[in-house]
Amino acid sequence: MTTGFNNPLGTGHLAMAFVCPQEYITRFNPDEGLCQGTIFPELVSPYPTYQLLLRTAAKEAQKE
Amino acid sequence: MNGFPDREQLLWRIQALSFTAVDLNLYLDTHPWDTRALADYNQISAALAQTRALYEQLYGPMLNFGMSCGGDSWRWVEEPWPWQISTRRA
Repeated sequence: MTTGFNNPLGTGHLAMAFVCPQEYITRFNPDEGLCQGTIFPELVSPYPTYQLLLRTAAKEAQKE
Repeated sequence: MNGFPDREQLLWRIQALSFTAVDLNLYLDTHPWDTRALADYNQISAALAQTRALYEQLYGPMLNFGMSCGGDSWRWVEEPWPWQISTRRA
């Protein structure tokens, strides 16, 4: 398919984003939402804690 | 205890209600016909307005202009400021 886009790598596609429709079913109470960073339980995706990152970095350093 | 809600507790409550209101606001931007979400938004907004009014009545204005009446004195310059809150919840 001709896209008119001159891909310097010669392969692959431009990125396309797909987002599933969200349905409002339930939400956290305001206090819980503030702690979780979202009021929607289905959107909770916590970052690893700083301590976990430190432990992982220490393990990597031991391997080297 | 004087029977009034603690200042910091009220500030945390306002933060929590504001966060819920803005998250519902974002959802409603893409789902404007979701009547359940809209009803929840209205309920949270009313609770937020009520809590802010209570805070201002007890502890002074939350904003320096436009939203709060000045009263008999210029309470805005009286400490503590609305953003002075402990990092840990009481």
